[in-house]
Amino acid sequence: MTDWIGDAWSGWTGYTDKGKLPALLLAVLLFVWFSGKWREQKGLLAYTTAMTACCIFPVTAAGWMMYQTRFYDYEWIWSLVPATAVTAYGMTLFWTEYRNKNAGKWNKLLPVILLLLTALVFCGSLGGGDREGETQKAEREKVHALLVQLSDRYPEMVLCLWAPREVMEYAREEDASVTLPYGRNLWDAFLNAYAYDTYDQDILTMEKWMEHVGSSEEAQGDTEDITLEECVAMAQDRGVNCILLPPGASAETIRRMEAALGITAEPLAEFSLFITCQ
Amino acid sequence: MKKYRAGDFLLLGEIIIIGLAAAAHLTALMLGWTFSRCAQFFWGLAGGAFAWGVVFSLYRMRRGKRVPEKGCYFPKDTDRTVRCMYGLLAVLFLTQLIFICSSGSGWRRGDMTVETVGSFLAADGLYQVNPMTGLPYTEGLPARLKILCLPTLYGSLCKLTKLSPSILVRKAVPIVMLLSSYTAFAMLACALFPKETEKVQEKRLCFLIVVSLLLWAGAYQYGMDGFSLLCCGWMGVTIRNLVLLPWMISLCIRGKWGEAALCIPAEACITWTLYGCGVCLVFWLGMAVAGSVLNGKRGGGERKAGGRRRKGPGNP
Repeated sequence: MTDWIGDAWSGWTGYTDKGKLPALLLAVLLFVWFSGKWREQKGLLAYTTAMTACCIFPVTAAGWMMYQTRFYDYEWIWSLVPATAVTAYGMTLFWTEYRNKNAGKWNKLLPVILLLLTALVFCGSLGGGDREGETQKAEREKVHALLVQLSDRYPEMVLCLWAPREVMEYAREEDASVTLPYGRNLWDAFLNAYAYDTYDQDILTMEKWMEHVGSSEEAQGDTEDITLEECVAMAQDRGVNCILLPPGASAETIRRMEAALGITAEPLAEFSLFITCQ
Repeated sequence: MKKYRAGDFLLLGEIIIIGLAAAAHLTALMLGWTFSRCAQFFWGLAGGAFAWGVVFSLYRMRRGKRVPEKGCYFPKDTDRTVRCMYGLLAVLFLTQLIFICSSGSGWRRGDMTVETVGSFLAADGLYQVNPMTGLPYTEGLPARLKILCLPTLYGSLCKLTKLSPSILVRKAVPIVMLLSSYTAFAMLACALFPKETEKVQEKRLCFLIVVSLLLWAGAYQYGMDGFSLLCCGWMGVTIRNLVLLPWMISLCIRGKWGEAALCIPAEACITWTLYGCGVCLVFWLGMAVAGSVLNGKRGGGERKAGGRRRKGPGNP
């Protein structure tokens, strides 16, 4: 229980770290309660005030997190609070009242407009924040082009692809007919909530080997855990029939891969492609 | 008939679509249908519902009753202030629309909707393969997750429109949710400022403008309304927070408790809830209790002339 309360407390700290829109909501609630305007929408404002308090205080916040079965993080208990609606309602009431009292007096109206907009800007971010950056967009487009080239070269083949992370992360999004020995949930732990499947040690070894290839520490294709030949055999046991080595793979690694698979590498964009059965 | 607005019918239609998708999804899961058959069943149900809606509307029009009975008070006013406010709202809406269309793929962390829809289409089955790998499940997935219907709905739309899952899920659906969200908040504006006075359209437009600015301002962090709408518009939690909940509040304020309760099963079909006990249920109960406690024996919502009480949980 103390862990949950601690999560609720740290959740509130994180929730108000990057922006202060909850502070704007609190200001609006104070305004409507002290100005007497709560009478017009009693139920909504009473509910909002009570729920806001519940979401801020750690004990009640922990209770709501339990109600959500802790599947969602702290920030989602704020779904219980109609923050956007009530903040907009309060600001509308304030503005319309102020405007009615100062109708036509732009020397008084304009500063208030600027003040309200400033409050919004400083409490929020106006479009900033976390989302896919240009780097990820470029990677996605590169993977899309790779998969198109692969399907053009081998149109009848059902691919089980093993490639570096930047390809594996987007492969299933771009082409769901491509199968993978491991997917994006290896790097995004949140995705593991959606299935009971787990990855065994062999998969982790394969992923570690692939990320090692092309790195500055690469030593002719072997890692401290496994040799190239053992890793390739492991991949083939998993059904892998299409291997992409990253651009930085050494010539020795490519030579050993060709020897292990009994085929010649093909160039595909900046990658080295190995197709084991056609 | 109770007073409904055009936006109410649009949002009710979305809830009906969610319900039909859930019915098709659960039927396909229980009977082991292919995804193609599931999609055909869904479109059959949707077509039937649409046909019924058309027949119902024609029937009511023949009986001399407009459906909806009264539109929201947004007249074609020549007042300069109102026109400026409409223009500002349109600009804000367009900027958000452009942002959704031109930004990258939105928020991917912890979300695998695109992979799931793609898996349904590629394997022609529901949850036959793990969306992350495309290989059959070894241990399976939680039942509570398996019954959620959004991947089936989006996959059915992909089959109809021939759009790729990535484009439909991350572009088309967020655009629809943007429109739906503005509709829901417009209904809320009408409920919060119900009196049809001369200045009411200014208040309602001011409310919508502030909502739009708050959505922009709140796009800084995962979990905020603005971020959900602009970067995660396809998720069930976004549909719940920005379409179902604002509309539910407007219905509760207007005393339409039965219609508001429809949002509860709709949420259960699209987000992970504990046996359907989600946010909408808490909202509905909270609004009912708050209204009952503060209004005494009087229910919340609109009143007809003459003071006749409307039925609701707050009334004995």
